[in-house]
Amino acid sequence: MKKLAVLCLAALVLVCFSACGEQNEVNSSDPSSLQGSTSSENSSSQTESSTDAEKILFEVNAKAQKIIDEQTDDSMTDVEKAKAVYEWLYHNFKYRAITVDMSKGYTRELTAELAEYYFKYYKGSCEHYAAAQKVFLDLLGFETYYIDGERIDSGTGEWGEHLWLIVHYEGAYYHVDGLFGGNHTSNLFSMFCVPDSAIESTHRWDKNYFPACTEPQLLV
Amino acid sequence: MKKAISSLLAVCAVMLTVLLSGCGENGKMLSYIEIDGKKISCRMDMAEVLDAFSDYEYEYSETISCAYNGLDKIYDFADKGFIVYTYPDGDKDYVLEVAVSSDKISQQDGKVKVGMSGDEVKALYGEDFSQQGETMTYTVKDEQTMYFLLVDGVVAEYAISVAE
Repeated sequence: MKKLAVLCLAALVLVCFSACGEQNEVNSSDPSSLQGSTSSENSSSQTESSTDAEKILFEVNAKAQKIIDEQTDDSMTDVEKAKAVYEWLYHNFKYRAITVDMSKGYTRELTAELAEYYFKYYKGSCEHYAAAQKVFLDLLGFETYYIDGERIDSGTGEWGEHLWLIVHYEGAYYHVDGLFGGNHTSNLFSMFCVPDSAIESTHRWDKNYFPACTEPQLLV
Repeated sequence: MKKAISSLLAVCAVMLTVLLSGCGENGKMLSYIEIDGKKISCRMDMAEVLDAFSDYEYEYSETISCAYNGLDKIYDFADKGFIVYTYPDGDKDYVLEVAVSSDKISQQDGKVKVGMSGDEVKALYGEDFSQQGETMTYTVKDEQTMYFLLVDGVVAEYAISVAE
């Protein structure tokens, strides 16, 4: 009897642990589990670092909104505005390979740190670029998520780490990577709100983790 | 005779304009960074830089560039307070940017240094700069820029960079 009780207890413990494991796994069908989600889960944190991040993001958002107001007008659709700031960012970004500490994950604190740096110094790495782009698109009503993957060096064929965005707009997902689009293609906008098919020859990512982008490019 | 003098004056005026176009009110734009008597300029062969600074320690890092084909190479002379970024061209690497963050390195007989104010920068180089965030960027000739990165109104870093 005792042995049976011990076995049952052990089984119960095993079941509990496996359930916890499932909860921690990424569910790509649940956007809030994606990196850099704009869901309220992160912003509801009561830690001091989150409070600081919110203060920084408040200031960053003000700077970004000023640029949005300068680059767009009320006659434009959300997509037109997004495209305008996408172009502005490319022309106002000095790329430098600045090391970024990504050890804490894709949090609002990270976005705050990266975006603050960019909006002060107008330079940075792909992480800063993605964060700045995220700030703009979030303000314009897009849901945005970081996507960490790799991009190809077309000269050597080697793959290198890279960060860009997936956006969720009117029920569909799209890739946004102005840094690559402007520097590696003849058309800056070739990486503005595009499907997987437009980007997968030059980018790779864990497709089991991120939602599929199957709709045609968002055009204006 | 009068025509000759007029022509000469006109030529002198043009030459003066050309000369002064590269200068601020008092300062000549930085076309190189001088460190301990050695000069680093944009587009310089990095091998020459490393040769000139062979007795300096630096931390080297490289990564497949997110923006360009090839490697981002960074030479961080942290002990001395400057950093060099390069770009590849063929088999060689050339200086893309030299950024100084130490107040122990000054330029132009001490006129340019970390710790000077943004107003001092303007007094030296004039108002013809673009302000991006906390960065004041001046265009130097030959597709080069120099910038001053300010923190609380004080220069925390200055650099020369290939214009992009």
